[in-house]
Formats: sequence, C-alpha cells, structure tokens
Amino acid sequence: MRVSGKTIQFNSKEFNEIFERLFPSMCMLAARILKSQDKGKDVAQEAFVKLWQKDNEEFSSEKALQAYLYVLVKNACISQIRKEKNIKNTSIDEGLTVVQKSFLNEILREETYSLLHEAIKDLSPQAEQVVKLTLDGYRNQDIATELEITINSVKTVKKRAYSKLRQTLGIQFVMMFISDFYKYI
Amino acid sequence: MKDMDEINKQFEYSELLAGKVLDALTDEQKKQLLEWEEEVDGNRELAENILNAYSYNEWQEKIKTIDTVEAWASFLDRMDSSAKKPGKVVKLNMFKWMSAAAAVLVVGLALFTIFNKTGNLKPIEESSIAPGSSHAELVLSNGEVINLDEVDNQIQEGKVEAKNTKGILQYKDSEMVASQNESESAKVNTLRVPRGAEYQLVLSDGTKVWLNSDTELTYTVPFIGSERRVALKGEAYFDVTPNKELPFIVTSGTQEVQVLGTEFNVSAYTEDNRIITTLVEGKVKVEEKYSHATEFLSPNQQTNFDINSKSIKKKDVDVYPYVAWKEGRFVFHNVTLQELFSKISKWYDVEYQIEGEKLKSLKFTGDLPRYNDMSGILKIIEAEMSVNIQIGHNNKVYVSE
Repeated sequence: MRVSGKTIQFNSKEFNEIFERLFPSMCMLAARILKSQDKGKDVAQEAFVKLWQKDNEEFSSEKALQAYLYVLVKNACISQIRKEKNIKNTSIDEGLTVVQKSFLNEILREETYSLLHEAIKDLSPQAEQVVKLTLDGYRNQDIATELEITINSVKTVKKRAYSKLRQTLGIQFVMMFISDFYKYI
Repeated sequence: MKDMDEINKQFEYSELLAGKVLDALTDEQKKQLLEWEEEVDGNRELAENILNAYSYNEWQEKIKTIDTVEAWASFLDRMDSSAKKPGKVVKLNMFKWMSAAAAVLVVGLALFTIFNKTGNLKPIEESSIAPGSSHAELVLSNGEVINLDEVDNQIQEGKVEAKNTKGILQYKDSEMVASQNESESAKVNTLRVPRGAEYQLVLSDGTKVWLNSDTELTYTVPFIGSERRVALKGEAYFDVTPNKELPFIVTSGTQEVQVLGTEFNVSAYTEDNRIITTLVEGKVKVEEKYSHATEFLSPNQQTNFDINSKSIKKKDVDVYPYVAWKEGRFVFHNVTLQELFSKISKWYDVEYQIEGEKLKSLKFTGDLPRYNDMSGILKIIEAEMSVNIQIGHNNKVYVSE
C-alpha cells in the first residue's frame, strides 16, 4: 500500500502509527452503529485487514486512507446487521438508507470530537474546561467568570487550541512531496 | 466514489463545527455552516446534538477504554492467519514474560555450554564463507518488486526505461528533470541491496552510485523540479554528474548532503546512530534539515553527524579507508574489532559474537581483500590480534581470547 507516495508494509512502524491514530475512530463508529463495544472492535479490525487484502491501494494522504477505512467499516457494519437480522429480501434497501444517513452523521460526530480532542490534549487542563463549558452553551464572558480568569485568557486559550487543530489537520491532509517521503527510522 | 465524497464532506464540516467551538470561523465559514444547517432537515439538530457537553464527555470516556496496543496485536494476528500462516499472538503478562525470558536464558546458557564443550565450533580452516555478490531488488512505483538476479534485460514502467546487466542497473538518459506538471509521469523507484550483496546504479542524469550491502536508495525517474534528490539508508558512493542548475541532494534521515557534481561516500546505517559523509572530489554541503546546522566539505574532509544530538562534526581524513569497499578492499585504520565486524559481517552476511568489552575495543589496522572467502580475512585478524576465532552454526563467527 502507498500513502503520500511512500510504500508501506502492514507490519511496519509507519503503519503501526497510522493504526494507532485511526483505530479508535473506526472502533467508536462501529460500536455506536452496532450498539456494542465488542462488535465494534471486531468490525474495526476487520476493516484494517480488508484494507490490506486489496493490493496496490494508493492514498494521497492519511485523510484519504481514513475516508476509505470509514467506507470499509460501514460495509462491514451493514453485513453484520444483515447477518443478525437475517435480511434477505428487498426491505433491506429502506433499512440501508437509514444506516447510510446515520453513518454520515456519526462520522461527523467522530471527526468533530477527534479534532477538539487533538486541539486540547497537549494544552493545560483549563483548555478542556473552556471547551466543555462552551459545549454547555456558556459564552466567553460566562466562562471567564466561572473559571475566574479574564475574558482575554479565554480567547487566548481558544486561539491556542485552534492553532493546534490546524497543525493536526496540516499533517493529516498534507500531500507530501515525493522527495520528502523518506523518513529515517 | 460517492461514499468517499460524502465522507470528505463530513471531514470539512467537522472542521467547521470544531472551529465554531473555538471561535475561529471566518465570515465565509460561518456562512458555509449556516447553509449546511439549512440545506437538509435535521442538520441543525445534528449540529446541536454533536456540540453538546454531555455527548462529548461520553465520547471521551469511551475512547479512553480503547486499547490500541491490544488491537494492533490482534490485527497482526489476523493478518498472519489470513496469509495462511498459522501463528498466534500469545498475550503474556509481565510475570509470564519474565519467566519466559528467564527460561530462554537458561536454555541459551545450557546450549552455549554444550556447544563449547562438544566442540561444535569449527576452526577457521575447516569452514568456508563465500563473499557477497551482485544482487538486488528493484521496487517500482506501483509496488511491483523485480528481482535483479534473474532479470538480465530491459525494465519498463510507463515512460521509464532501464537496462539491467552484470550487476549494474542503468536508467535511460532522459530530459534531466520533469517539469512540475509532468511530475505525474515520474516514477518513484527503490533499489534494495540485501546483506551479502552490492550493486551499481546509473541514474537518469548519468550519476553513478555504488550501493554497499544492506542498503536502500530511493529516487524518482526522471528527477522532479529544480533538484536531483535521492534518499539513502545504508552506504553508497556517489559519482555525481555535474550540473550547476540542479543540485544533487542525498537525504539520510534529517541529514542532507548537497552537491553540484563531485564524488563522495555516505554511510548511514541506522544501527550506527551516526552518518559519515566523506568527500573525495569537489565540494559538498552537509546540512541538518531542521536546525540548518551546516558544514562545507573540501576533498579529504569528513563529517560525522550524530543522529541523536543532530550535531555535525567535521575533520580531515585519509579518504581511502572510507571508499575502498568500492574498489574491492576492506581498509581499516585503527578501528575497533566491533566496528570491523559490523562492516564485514554485512558483506559476508554472517552473525558474529565478540566475547567481552576488552576484545571489542581492540584496534585493528589493515588492508584486506573483499572478494575472497571470509576465512582468509579471519585468519589475518586472528594472527594480527592474537585472538581465537571459531565458526559456529550458520557460519556465526565467535571471537574469544
């Protein structure tokens, strides 16, 4: 398989890193759709195995690989649901449209939370509080009062978190130059 | 693929939602988000449902319980069984690991003693260890691997052509570089030389490269943009075709060697934790990619790049010992037995064991032939250094007092 112009093996350090970053999202998504943590884990692993059974896949970036994995997870979930419900007739179509929609919704949730998580994970615990209070509907002024800091501090925390988020996105989306693909281990 | 497009859309909207939480949206993005919320019934509710502290907390709690280390082990396990290689990842707890390790140690010690006593080690005279030879693998940009021992002919991939004869892989001369918009037709190739082998390469610009054992060189054919860039792991000697417009750059980890046309050797084996760049002719620049620490080399100078500290040290040297491998010699000047065996074991593809720190740090000076049987070299080392050398299973070399 090739990612960003670099050929990688399934048991390589590079792929291990990609796996560590992407497995949790895949697992969370499948678990929510199948309403079972164990089944979710199983399906997510199956998706990673499937990824390697097709030869010669080429991904321009890690993000492209991630999108592809989401599709594999979706298909695996659908066949799991089919198996469980023993659906063989035409009524599947109706059911599957619903699944398709909820998939996209859950991907949006997964991705939004991952981004927020990446944005604050290396910052002070205050950043997490700021994000959670915002999600609770607090305005910046209310957050400042609640945490006994100035409103400017709240804004600075958000700015810092956002620039971390941009960094993460930069790494995930960057289409590395062919000349840069080689990384010394 | 429709699925992929839809998912990519979700990636974009997730950025907008996260950006909204952090007050980072531009006016344009705010408008985009608003449009999306109105586009389909339920989108607004979905956004509210996602941007909700309760739901986020729940997610955070769940994600903490996912054990990626365990998942990785069972992924590898599944890959093995899907490749029809039965093999099981046995999970052991710390205690079991330690007792397993202890057991291995005991068995190992017992074996070692038995070996020594029953004299399963042979003296040098009774063994024969053939030198390395010319072979390599070429990995094409589509991932196909060509074994260069078997092919003695033309290799073609897209517009890229190469000829492989007598241990030399030669690319067809091409326009020196592809312009950026042609870069899609350029191919990324990797030449891999295993232990016990060497190979020669002529790149599309005419630059000659000698690859030593256990070495990988990656490059594009033709070169792209305003430079000629290759990536090296292991050891290679470069004779670069002069071209003032297009610098030739050898990347090894975070070290870059930049030249316009010259001859030099780079030794960048991972296990050495350092990269030695030795200049024979011309002028080169050695640079650390991130700190931009830089040294310029003149002929008979060398840099030692420390991979851990990222520092570069320059010194004057006699270049011959560093490039002699390409002339079929092993030349050592005051190197430790440890370094000496690290070098020659790659070429003869053998393991070795030197008993004790004192022996490892003994210094050796000498000029030895590279294309002869290893026993000849070992005899010289044995005599010169007054050590005892024996050969074990799989030609493993044991050095003792």
